[in-house]
Amino acid sequence: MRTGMVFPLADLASVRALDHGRKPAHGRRHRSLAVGAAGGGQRPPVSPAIVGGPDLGVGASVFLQSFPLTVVSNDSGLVVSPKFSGTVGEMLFQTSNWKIQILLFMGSIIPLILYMGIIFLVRQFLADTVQGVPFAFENARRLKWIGWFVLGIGIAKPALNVVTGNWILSAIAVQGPVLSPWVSLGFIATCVLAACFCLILSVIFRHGVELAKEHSLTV
Amino acid sequence: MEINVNLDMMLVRRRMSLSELADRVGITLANLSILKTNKARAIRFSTLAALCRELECQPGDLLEYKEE
Repeated sequence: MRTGMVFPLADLASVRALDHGRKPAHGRRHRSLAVGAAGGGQRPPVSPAIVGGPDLGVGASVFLQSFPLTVVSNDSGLVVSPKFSGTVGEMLFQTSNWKIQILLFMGSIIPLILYMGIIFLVRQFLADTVQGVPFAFENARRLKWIGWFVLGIGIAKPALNVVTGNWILSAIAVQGPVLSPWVSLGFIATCVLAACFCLILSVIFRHGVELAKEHSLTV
Repeated sequence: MEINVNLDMMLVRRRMSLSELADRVGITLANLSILKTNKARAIRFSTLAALCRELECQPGDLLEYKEE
């Protein structure tokens, strides 16, 4: 499993991985980190400290310099493969440590399970609706569970990203800006709003079930 | 307290079957059965009017209030 770390760049001078005993001979230098092909990694988003720039007037321009990334050394078999595009940086980490792999795997599997649960419930919901029975207690219950699952994804995914990001950042040292796990507040807000919408819809559906039952017994 | 629907009695008096009455009134046999077995929650005035028309009776002949 190969994944990487994504972070927006402002001023990233270099990344220096912790090294147990090995020191570079002349400051920073490029060094290949071949630690083996097997292993798993993660791509938790991280962001650097905000670095301000000059105010640009009309006609003024500034050249955004790309920053070299120098890995001085590696630690615990972490392989760093950077890739920068625009203002987003990506660093691919690999490790053969099975404990770390499990931790990183959990960051992906838990949201995936919740996604699959949502798809399963939506499928059942649509099946009942297509058959002409949308207002059923089962559908109201499914909507409620969909809401809780969406909320779970909105909380679990960023939380797991923070946990894995903190761990990875604890294994490397960054010179220049301070890297920290990046949490998308937009993603969280969207999930919370969607969850609230589903839960409210579930309550409305329950009321709809009562109305449908009343209507079916009206001659 | 509940409202009882005396449909059986009126059908016997008019010598009409349930299905025939359902056809004349314009409702399904299932709905008429619900009404006959006192399981209905509500009845539309239009349905009540059609029943009275076909059974030649008044609403009071069909509906009876009973205290439980």
